Amino acid sequence: MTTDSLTPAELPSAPPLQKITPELLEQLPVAAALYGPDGKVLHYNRRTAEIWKGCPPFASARDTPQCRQLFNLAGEPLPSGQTPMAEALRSGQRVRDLPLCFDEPGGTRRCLLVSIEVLQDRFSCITGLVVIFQNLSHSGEEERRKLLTMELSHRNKNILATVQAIADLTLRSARSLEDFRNTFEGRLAALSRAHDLLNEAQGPGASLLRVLAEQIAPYQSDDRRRIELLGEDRRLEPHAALVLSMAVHELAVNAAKYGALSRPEGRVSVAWRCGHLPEAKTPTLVLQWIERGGPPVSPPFRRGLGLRMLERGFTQELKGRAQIDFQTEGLACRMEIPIRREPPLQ
Amino acid sequence: MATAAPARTILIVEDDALVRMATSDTLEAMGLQAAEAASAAEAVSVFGNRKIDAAIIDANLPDRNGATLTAELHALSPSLPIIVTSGYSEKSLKRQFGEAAGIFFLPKPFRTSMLEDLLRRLDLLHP
Repeated sequence: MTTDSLTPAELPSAPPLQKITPELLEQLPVAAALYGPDGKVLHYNRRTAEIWKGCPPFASARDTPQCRQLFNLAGEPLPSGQTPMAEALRSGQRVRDLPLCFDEPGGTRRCLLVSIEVLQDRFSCITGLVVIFQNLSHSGEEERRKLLTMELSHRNKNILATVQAIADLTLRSARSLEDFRNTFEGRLAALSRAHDLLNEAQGPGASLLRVLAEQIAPYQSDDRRRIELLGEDRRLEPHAALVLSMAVHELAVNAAKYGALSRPEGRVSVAWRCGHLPEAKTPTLVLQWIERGGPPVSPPFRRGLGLRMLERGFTQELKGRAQIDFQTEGLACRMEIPIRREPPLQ
Repeated sequence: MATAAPARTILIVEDDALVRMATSDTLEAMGLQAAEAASAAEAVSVFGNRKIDAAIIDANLPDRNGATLTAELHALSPSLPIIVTSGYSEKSLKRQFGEAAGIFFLPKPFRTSMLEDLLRRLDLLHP
């Protein structure tokens, strides 16, 4: 007989929530906590209290602010809706040894491994979670190193996948091997400069002025008047900084090949401001790239990869917009980036 | 007179725009249709509006992990083949996703021929 043929009344079920008492948790040789279906912590044992210096964090279904910020192993803040507990409540899937970090009151970063068993009733409704916390910092330094290495390997492979994608996309639109080499190298260098900025920045994100300055540097004149940057500096979220970096790189390359920067007298102005657009729920950063003094412009027969990347990047990645206008006197591009929260400039 | 079967549609759920675009172009070059989503929420929305024959899902999405999205899509369509891609090893993915039917793993970066073979095995590509 398979499980499918059982009626709900015959199905085996996890122990009901009521059977997992504070006394039972206290008997366990590990740090354990019981969460309700709403994500609230119902009971936790002494070992858990020692690790968390009190109650462990609740499992919020949404990204509501928590009193204790949690981090992943790489040190990135974890939205409260994406903690292992919140994910288990949402998906109903058990979790084994997922790392989770937080800062102790003294500022020391502490890392744990979290394992979760999901409690369900006979109708498969989630009734709660049994969560086991295993301390990494004190007892499992080697395990922590292993996890960090695994995380690093994962990120390296993701970067390789991105590079592979750039190669694939560039190859599809290349006119010759020489064209492929130049375009591919330029895109890799742009991506590399954007990552440098994010790594050098103190705090999350990067300076808008530096993002622009880095990407236009190969085309800028000594007196910095060939490409004018007009606006106040502000900090961009990491993802927005990456998308904008690649967009400005593509615009600059296009201008150097076919637009204003292909002639000595050509000029580009990049101006920006932040404000509330009609129908927008959050403030929007609006950047205008305007070319003048180049050869007359006409719309291309087919959209090149650079422009496709630019439009999709803003629309799909940032939920913003990029609009390219092939005006006869010079290409203009308007880019809109919704500002969800603005990290301060440091 | 026999008519050609309509092209199958594959949903790509990937937050890296370049990887998503390249995968989409690759699928289209194979004669398939590609639908794109940059997040799990977007994927569920696309799934509700289009007929999807299979999904390629990144294991780490900005709003939910891939395991949660896989469970959500399988709740909507239990027989949907789902290909999970990730920079994590296949062993680690199997620990996270389990070895349920209808879930396949493709470690990143993957070769086009690996994707093609898998799609053929799933009967989404004709020889």
